[in-house]
Amino acid sequence: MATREYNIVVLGAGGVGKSALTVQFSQGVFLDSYDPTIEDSYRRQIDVDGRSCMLEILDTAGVEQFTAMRELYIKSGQGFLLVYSVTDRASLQELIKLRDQVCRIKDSKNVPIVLVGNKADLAHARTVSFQEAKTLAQNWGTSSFYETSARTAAHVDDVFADIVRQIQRRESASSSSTAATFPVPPTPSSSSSYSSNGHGRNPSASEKHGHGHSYSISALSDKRSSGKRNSGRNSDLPVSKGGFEPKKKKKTGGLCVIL
Amino acid sequence: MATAAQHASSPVHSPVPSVASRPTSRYGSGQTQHRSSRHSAAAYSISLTASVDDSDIDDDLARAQARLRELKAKISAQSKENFLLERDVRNLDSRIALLIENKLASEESEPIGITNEAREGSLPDRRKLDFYSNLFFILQTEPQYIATLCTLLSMSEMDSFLQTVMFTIYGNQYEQREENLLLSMFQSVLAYQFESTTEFSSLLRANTPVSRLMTTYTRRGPGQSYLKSALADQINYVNDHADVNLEINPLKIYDEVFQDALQAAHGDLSAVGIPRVVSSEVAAANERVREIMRPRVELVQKITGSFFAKITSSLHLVPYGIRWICKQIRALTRRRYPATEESAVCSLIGAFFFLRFINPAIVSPHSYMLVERQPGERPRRTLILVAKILQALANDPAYAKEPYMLSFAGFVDDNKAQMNKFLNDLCEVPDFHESLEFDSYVALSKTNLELSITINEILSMHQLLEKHSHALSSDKRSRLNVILRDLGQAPPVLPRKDNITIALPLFSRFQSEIEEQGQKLDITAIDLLLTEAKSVVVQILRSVPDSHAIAHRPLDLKLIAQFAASDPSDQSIGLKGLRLLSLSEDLFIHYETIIREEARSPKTSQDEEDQIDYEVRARSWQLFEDMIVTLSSEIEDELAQLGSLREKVASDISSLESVLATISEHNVYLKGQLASYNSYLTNVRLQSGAQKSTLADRRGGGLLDLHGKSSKTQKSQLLGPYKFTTQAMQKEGVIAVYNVPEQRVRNLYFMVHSSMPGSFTIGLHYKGKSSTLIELNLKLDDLLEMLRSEIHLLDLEYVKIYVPKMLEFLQKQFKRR
Ligand SMILES: Nc1nc2c(ncn2[C@@H]2O[C@H](COP(=O)(O)OP(=O)(O)OP(=O)(O)O)[C@@H](O)[C@H]2O)c(=O)[nH]1
Ligand SMILES: [Mg+2]
Repeated sequence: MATREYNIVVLGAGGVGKSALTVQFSQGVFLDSYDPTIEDSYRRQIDVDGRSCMLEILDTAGVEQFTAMRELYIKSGQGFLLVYSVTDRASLQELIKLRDQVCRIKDSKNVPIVLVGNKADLAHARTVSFQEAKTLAQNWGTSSFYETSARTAAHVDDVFADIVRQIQRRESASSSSTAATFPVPPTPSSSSSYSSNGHGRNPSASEKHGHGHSYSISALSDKRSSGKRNSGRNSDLPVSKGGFEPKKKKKTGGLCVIL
Repeated sequence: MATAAQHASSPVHSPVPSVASRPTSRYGSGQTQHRSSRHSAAAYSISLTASVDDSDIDDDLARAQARLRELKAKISAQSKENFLLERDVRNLDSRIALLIENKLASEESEPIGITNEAREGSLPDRRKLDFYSNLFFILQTEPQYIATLCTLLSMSEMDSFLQTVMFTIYGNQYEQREENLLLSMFQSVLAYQFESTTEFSSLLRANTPVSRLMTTYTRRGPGQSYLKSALADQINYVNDHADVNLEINPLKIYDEVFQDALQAAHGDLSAVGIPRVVSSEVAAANERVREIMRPRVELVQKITGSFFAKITSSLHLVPYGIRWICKQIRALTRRRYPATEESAVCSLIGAFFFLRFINPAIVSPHSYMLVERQPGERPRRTLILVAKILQALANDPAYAKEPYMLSFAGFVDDNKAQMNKFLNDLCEVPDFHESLEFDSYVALSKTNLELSITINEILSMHQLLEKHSHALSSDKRSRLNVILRDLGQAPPVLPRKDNITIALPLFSRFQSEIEEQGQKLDITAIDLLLTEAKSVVVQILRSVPDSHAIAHRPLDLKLIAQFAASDPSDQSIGLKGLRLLSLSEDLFIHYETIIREEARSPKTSQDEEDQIDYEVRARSWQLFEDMIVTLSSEIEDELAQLGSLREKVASDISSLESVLATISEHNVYLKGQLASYNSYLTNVRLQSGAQKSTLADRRGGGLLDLHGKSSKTQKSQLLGPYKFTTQAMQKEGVIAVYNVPEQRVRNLYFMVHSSMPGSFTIGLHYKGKSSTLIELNLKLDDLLEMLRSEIHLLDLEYVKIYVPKMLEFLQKQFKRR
């Protein structure tokens, strides 16, 4: 049976333990010293519900000076681990904005996301309660929530299994609505156009389809027009994190959907 | 902008005759003569700048310096404008997102203007402004308050606070005095952080207000121009070779190998012969992968080596302030963690210099304006690798998280020593305390200090100070608290359109300030005399050819003064000569006063007095003569420095010109971006407007439409005004609290109209009164922003409005299609 690949991106503030978590998961080692990340990638194969999955994990920089690169990461990822430290309240607050950014770039409220409260072993230094973060995750709707410790490896595997399941669920949901055969091989227009070889991202494909780069307004009105996302109403008003690029002409109808 | 430019170009270091001639002899008995030589050194350190700022002199150097000043002022002003534009773009972006999320795109907001237009009536009154002048004077000259605030604020409060600090209070990026004050603020902040950190390892690595502060600093003009000179060539080289693939991660190389094989097999997966996905170990062991990897590793090393060589050889170009911060980090680490190994100290310096300053610019050169185009996929990866290796070099991690990075272990070993040396060399800069002390004194006596500042910057700062006043100063009589008390409660900030930029003069109303401050700073009138004298001599000498008799070494100050004073050909030189003579006289008198004070004792007879009088004059003369000799040699040094200054100024000009060109370009880009945003908004409005009028009629049905006709015209976007009773509003849950007696409530009513989609004017009226009690203009995105920042109540003086319901209500009543 073919092994599926999953592109997972780890995001969060500096020093919360993103690398420690990822390295614990992929190599079974705890990183004791702090070596700030610029951009690292890892791979590990696991079985989830009897299926073999290859996890391609991108560990990103939390140091804020590098956040300019985030947009690219978000575009390329399928599932996201949003990590904070239970000892650092500000790191949780940063995630609220981050989640908005993910949803905006992904053009959806249903992006596979796991909220992760790391350093749970540091009980004496805790400043964020379990319940509080749990509530936040519930407000986010689809997100799951775990407290982990990269030091003791507690719940580390759970986090990754959960994100894989979320990606699977989302894919089966979207593929059933387009009535494709299951499993669906990733194609530029139906998946988030992540190319597995990392350097072959094809910009012309995403431009052609108006996906990936664009932020289609019609899709945002998902409460009223859910299921109509692919009905040819992709608005021509693209929003990307970097900014709006207004087009000269708009197709009529794009705006009606909003109201 | 005009005010900022004027401010920046006004000479701050010019000699200050008004103070020099003021009777300031407050020499106590403890003062002794050898002090004067120390003071002279202090004076010396700034007089270079003082002489440079004189506008009377018209030689090449002076003209070049004028050009330099002009450039610096322009850069300061331009980078502030860019900062504001960037913020506007961000702001508009997030507001658009808010609007869309709320499915209200057609009811969008007014475009954000590039410049704020002036509005009458929104300024704090004259008296208040005077208090604010005092307040900001204190904030600027007593940096500990801002330092403390930095440690108290949340990250979300930090952005606008930093804008005010970096670009307004200390906005003159090239002005020594403001720079020094800013740096001494850093010192307190850093010291605080070292004090309060429990974990050495996360020091300077986590995102804290302090790290934000320091990086904002690195992004000002001088840091920017350094990055350009140290990195631009190398980055452009990589960027220009867009097709060079230097991926060295075996997993990624394996993917390439697989794709090649797949292509060779004409897309037939079963014919490829190798698995599509493998583990890191398998990929790293693959022969073909290793073959591809080897030369790439070598090339990456070469490129990194050239980056590193350029960085180390540009040591002298690193701005003073940034090096000074490195120095503080080293000193604080050694002081607080004496057992720290040398390598750990270096890695902390690296955590600032490389992690926060150099590497971010390498990996996203576009956002640092170092390249024109955003790097493509491959150059981007190469630049990331370069940054990763430099990071490893600076931090020397014990463990390679990604095994393939071990390929560079040899490179790291070979260069580690040089990296540590470089990091230590960065710290080798002098302190500025002596000149700072003197500068603050000069500043006190200056009358033309002012800030170019927006009203809301003033008000927000006031709010922050109010919120944290206890933590800032517990002493009720401290100047800060006295002024805060006088100012009263901080008013809310103004709506964006009323938020104009003003020139706020800075002064201190505390009478005794100069003396107190002088005492604190241990500075005397003699320093001022010496500084001015030195400056005058340098000016005189620069007005004559080098071969002139008075320019012969050793310099004879008396000769110079007499020559200049009697020079009939040039009136301004003549005046300078006279000034110099009178300065010498003052200087002598000062010495005499000091000596006499010291010699006096109550039990002296007349005879003794005479004897003492003679001794006093003899000793004063001796002191004076000594000082003249010292002064002459200082002036000679200074003239020598001026020679090299000529070259330095020329090279500074060319580098600053290119910085200015880049940020001006960026400015054009930002303005373009803002214009696109705005035109996008206009588009949306036109679209919604076209379908609007019929629906507006329909909506107006149950309401009292006072302007029936105008709202029907296609062009006008006006809806309303509609009248709403308080009962109606209360029923909707809009009114949260009444601040009027109950029996009056029913006489209150609202008039609401919407002049364009998303913009509402709400008037509160009282039955029988023709004038409006209170009127306010609300934008949809203002309301959304309030909700987002969890502001739920809006105070209308007579009533308090519950924002979420208000939003619902307005949307319902003024729905347009
Ligand atoms: N006690 C404890 N310490 C942890 C845990 N996770 C990480 N740390 C420590 O926290 C520090 C930072 O961890 P990193 O994993 O490097 O943090 P990061 O989020 O990757 O940081 P950036 O790469 O800068 O974004 C290290 O010293 C780790 O040893 C944990 O679960 N428990
Ligand atoms: Mg990391």
